[in-house]
Amino acid sequence: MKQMTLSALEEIMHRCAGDDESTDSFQQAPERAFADLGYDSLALLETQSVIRREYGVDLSEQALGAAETPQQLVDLVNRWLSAV
Amino acid sequence: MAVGRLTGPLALLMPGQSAQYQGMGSGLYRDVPEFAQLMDELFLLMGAAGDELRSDWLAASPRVPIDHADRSQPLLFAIDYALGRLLMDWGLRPTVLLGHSIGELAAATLAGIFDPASAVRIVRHRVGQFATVPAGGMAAVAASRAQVQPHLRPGVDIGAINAPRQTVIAGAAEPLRTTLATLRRAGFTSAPVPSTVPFHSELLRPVAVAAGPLLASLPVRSPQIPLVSGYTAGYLTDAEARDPGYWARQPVDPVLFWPALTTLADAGPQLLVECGPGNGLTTLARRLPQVRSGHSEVLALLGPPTGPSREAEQLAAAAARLGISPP
Repeated sequence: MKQMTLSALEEIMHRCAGDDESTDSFQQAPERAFADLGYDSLALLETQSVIRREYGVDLSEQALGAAETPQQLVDLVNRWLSAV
Repeated sequence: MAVGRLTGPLALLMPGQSAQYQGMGSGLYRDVPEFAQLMDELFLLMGAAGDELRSDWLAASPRVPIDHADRSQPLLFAIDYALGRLLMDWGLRPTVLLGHSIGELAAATLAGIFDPASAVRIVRHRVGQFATVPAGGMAAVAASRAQVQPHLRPGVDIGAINAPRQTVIAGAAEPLRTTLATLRRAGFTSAPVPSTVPFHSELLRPVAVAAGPLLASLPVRSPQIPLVSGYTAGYLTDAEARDPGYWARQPVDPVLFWPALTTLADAGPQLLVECGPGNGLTTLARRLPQVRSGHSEVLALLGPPTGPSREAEQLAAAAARLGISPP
């Protein structure tokens, strides 16, 4: 079954933010708040639409708002994927 | 997160429209007398409108909502400036200033280009002109300027470049709505920017023209602290500082915040301090390669919007990290 990893999420969010270089900050700090990692609400909305497209997971805005860190978002997506 | 003292070159980032929220800074007004005094001086300069502004600011249910430009613009200017002044009174010596939109006027005042009385006249004049601007709005699009540009309908303009993939557009309500629908179909995500005025769109051109005579009449000094311009993305020159047209065009020209932030960051390792409500600009600054690599650091004085009761505590914690204290 397809699952999402922290580095897969980070790759998506780098793309959304338009970063031209990659880091592995999500694995180093999986429980840091997205704002502290430099991702604002627009970047999260964009991430939501990429996850819908690439993972077939349609997170509600409410669910997205509850996921404040990379680990929480990855867990949320994976719970969804396991339930399908 | 490190809690050690931060030293070295220091930039103040001063936020503009979209940073506002009801009650912002009101806890500082209650709990930090020096801040209250600075705010009261600015309200006094605004005359009767200042009394109204203050009572709405401190009210649980304001008469005019905070997202209305009549409230957000003068309050953002005043809070940004008063916070910056306070930090400097406490011993902080910023090496460079960068403001976003109305935040740049606060930065210019902190740098001594305008005295507070002149700056308040500029703000008051602008706010008075907003009633003549057609109703409109703003939205942030998760795309580059080049990606957004082809989809703009007549009446909608690029308002700000906030990040490589965050472009703000602004315009009249109807063409803005159709532009956003087109962008959505093209696969671009967007979110509304809370504003009743389509700042940095051509609809503001008459406001810029009307401000010309006032700006030409105000005394101007060379900046005592360097500014990176949010409109040229270079260091503000003396000629620009003395050009009334530069300041008059602020509400209509697009804000090149990301290019300006890049110019600032290229000067070398430094601490970027958000001097105003919220943490929107430091969140953007965290995308800088220099910050991600740890060569530069960011600090939001007030952090994300919280209740007024925590503001004094947040400011005290930030002051401790900056190694400054009340005289």
